[in-house]
Amino acid sequence: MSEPVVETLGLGKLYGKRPGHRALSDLDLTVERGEIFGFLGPNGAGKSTAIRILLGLLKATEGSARVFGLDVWSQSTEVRSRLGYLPGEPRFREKQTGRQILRLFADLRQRSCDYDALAERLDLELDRSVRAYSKGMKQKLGLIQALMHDPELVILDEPTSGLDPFTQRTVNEMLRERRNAGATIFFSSHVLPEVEGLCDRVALLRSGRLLRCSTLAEFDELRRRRFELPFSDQATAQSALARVTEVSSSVQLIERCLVGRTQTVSDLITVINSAEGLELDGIKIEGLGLEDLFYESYGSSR
Amino acid sequence: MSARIERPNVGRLLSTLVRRNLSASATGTAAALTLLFLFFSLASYLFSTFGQTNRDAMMAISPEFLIAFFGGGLGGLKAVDLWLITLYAHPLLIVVLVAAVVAPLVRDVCGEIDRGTIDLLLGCPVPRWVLPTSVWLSAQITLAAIALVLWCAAYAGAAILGTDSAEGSALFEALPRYRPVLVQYWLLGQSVVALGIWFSARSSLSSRAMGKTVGLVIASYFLNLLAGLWSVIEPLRWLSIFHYYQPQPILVGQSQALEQLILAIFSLVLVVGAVTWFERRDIDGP
Repeated sequence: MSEPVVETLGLGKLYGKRPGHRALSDLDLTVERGEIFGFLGPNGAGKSTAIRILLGLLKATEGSARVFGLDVWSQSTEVRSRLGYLPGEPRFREKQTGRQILRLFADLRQRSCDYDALAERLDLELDRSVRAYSKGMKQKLGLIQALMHDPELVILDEPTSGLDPFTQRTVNEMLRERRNAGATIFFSSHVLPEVEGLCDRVALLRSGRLLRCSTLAEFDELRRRRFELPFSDQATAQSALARVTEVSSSVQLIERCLVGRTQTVSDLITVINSAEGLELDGIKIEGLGLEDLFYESYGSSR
Repeated sequence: MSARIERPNVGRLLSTLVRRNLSASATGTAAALTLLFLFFSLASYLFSTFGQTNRDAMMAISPEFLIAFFGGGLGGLKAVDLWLITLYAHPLLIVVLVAAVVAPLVRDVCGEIDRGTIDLLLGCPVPRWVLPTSVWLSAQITLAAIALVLWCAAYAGAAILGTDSAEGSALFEALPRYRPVLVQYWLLGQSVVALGIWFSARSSLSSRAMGKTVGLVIASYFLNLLAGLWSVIEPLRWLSIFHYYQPQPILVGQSQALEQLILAIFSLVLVVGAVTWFERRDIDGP
């Protein structure tokens, strides 16, 4: 089995002296080669701290982190020579044009980089001053500099922030292409449907701690269904509710509608069968997404 | 997967960053150097227009101030030398140092952190120490340009007067003796640069680093000046970097090796300390 691209063991970061602020605690992560890995969590969960440690911008106060088998602090330069990075809010020297900035990063990487092709694909005018760029255009420029040297690992902090839906789709396509070419993508995001559609695995962080880390298929919650059964005959409602409750304990009677959740699709069919006798006006079924899971996981502690 | 070690060519990285630093401050530096050139050229012209009587009167008054500033050692100097060393210790030189050297270096070290542009820079395979070192190298080029402009301006002033006039020929005769003074000035500039790099490497706010550097340079300037006029603070004079910048003994042929060594060691310790600190510090987000 090949060595993981990213591996952290008990990674932690404490800012300041006692009592200090603990931004990250005991983070164990493994990202394999060729996967798209989503890093999720609310603001202050520790995502950016973890990413900055991987880049050697911050020094971990506990545990260890390795990228390509190299220590991220003592061998940071070697690590960074093999990755592309997009910060959460990319900032540039605004007097320069997009082309001047990309040329500088190509010079610093000491590699030939085909940034024109990427700029064309993302529809970005490179010969304008960055001062005249919108937020989305700056984000595109940041993405181009992260991808232009075909890195083995791409670390992206909120990559589609500020982008229109068409560009978001293009970026997702580009990331899939990179993954198919063997690159590893590690990104944090708040755009949960995007994570669902793109990621092979997802890690959820809360208050600096890893809450869960698994493939999307392993999230049982994603197989849950939310249902609404509106009906017109109030007389049979209570007996129907009693039957349905045996299958789904979360069911509630709200005016003339049975509302609840089931663990599986089979359970949902059983619920509908149990509602026999009700004069149903319709059936509304929704799959629970990562977004619901996200809010359930964080609950009121956000 | 075997770890494929890739190390960048550090010489190319330094060259790229030095070009970037210099081009970013080119307009400001050019303005400061032009101001310096005009001031020095014009000063040479003013020297000639004073007339012998006024010059004698001025020099009869000014030595006390000059002795206070330079700590004595003015004996044996000609009027033209007194005039020139006054220029070489003029506060304008400090203003130019701050505008053309300190401000860009603060912007290029901790300014990168407070603007957030350092994230992309250090997302590239740039070793940490390369960043302050490239800034130090850029400052060397600017300092050399300042010294060259000082020299050219003094010659331009002398050329305007012409060798036919007594003042012009006195300036031409005096200027070659000022080459060692330029070395001394360059070492003073090194110390100011080192202070700027020291505070920048330790801070995440460019305004804070700039304030500390400029504040310390100004305090140092006035400490040296006031220590010559006020005996109470005279024992503290050695704390000022300007105490080790004394053009007049050089002009009368005295060695300034110890003062030059002190300025050089002071600069070296601060720059090495700053680079080491920057290599190990956390780079916070914007």
